[in-house]
Amino acid sequence: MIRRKVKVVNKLGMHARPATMIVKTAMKYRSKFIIKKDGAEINGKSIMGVMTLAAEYGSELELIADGVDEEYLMNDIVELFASKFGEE
Amino acid sequence: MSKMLKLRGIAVSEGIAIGNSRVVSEGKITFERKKISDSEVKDELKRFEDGVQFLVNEIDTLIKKYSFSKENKDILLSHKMILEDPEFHKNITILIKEELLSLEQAITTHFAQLKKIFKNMKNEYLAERISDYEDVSNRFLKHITNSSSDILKSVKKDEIIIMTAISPSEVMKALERKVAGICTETGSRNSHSAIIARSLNLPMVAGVHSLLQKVKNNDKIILNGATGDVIINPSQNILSEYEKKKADFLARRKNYLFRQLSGQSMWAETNFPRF
Repeated sequence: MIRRKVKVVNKLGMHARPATMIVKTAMKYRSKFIIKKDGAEINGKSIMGVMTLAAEYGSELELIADGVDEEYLMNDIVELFASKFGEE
Repeated sequence: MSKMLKLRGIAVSEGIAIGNSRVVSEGKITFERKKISDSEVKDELKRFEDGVQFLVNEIDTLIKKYSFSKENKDILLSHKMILEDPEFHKNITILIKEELLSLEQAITTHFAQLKKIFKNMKNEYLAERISDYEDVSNRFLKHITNSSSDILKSVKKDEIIIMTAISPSEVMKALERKVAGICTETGSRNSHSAIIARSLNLPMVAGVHSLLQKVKNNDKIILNGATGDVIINPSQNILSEYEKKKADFLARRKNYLFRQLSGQSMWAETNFPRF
């Protein structure tokens, strides 16, 4: 199991498009993927879960990946956050 | 002569339609609010999986059949993702298995809970995404409560369809029957049916409050798909005004399409000018 902290750095926050990108990416892997924010914990492979986190610009999140391909999953997801999901 | 009445809904698909109303009754989406028995759990779960499968296939078919703009395609794909969401499946399964709710009640309960969460969001941009979930919820309920009979069979050419809600396949049937336009009591701009009406250039207004109480069969109707205006039994003046507007609109659209075809720019439904 690996844990990483990330910050939402795109201005619009995790709205529908970034949320979709996260779920799509996580779905490519077999590992479990959890996102934590302010004590709340959601399934990172669930679009409903990711949207209801309502992570705005500046939010700090903890990512937890657990499974055979956890490192690959984590790297891809961290990269998405760093690239601001291709936004500003 | 009946009195003129103006209503306002959501502008869904541009264009002006003038025609006689055809009220298509599908029976309201109602269901009994009683618990199911343990022996019915398995059937309800199967109905759920079948429903998801049907709607996912429907989206795939629509995407294959029509060339949607990227924006519209993304909406459809996001709805597919909502249907395939593992937490959605988990929650519905719990509601059916443990709370002994029928599928209809489980779907209603699930999306009502979700609506509450979205309503409490501070960020408006995020909060308004609840409409995607409402679209999926409405589509699901319509699918599982509808009989498979062709409820549009009484509809004739140049009529305006008046319904509570319309499914994507019914929009396509409406086009085959050459209707003038569609007007519904529920629905939003991003519902599947709305997206299809737009890509077929079929005028449509949705979300018209108490529409079915106000329109009877064979009322003269004007729909303005660009503004959301619905006029019932228009006066002769209004009628002439809209006939002119309609002719202007069609001329502009034709001219626009002609310019597209002559290669001045690429056709895309999203860059069709708004009037």
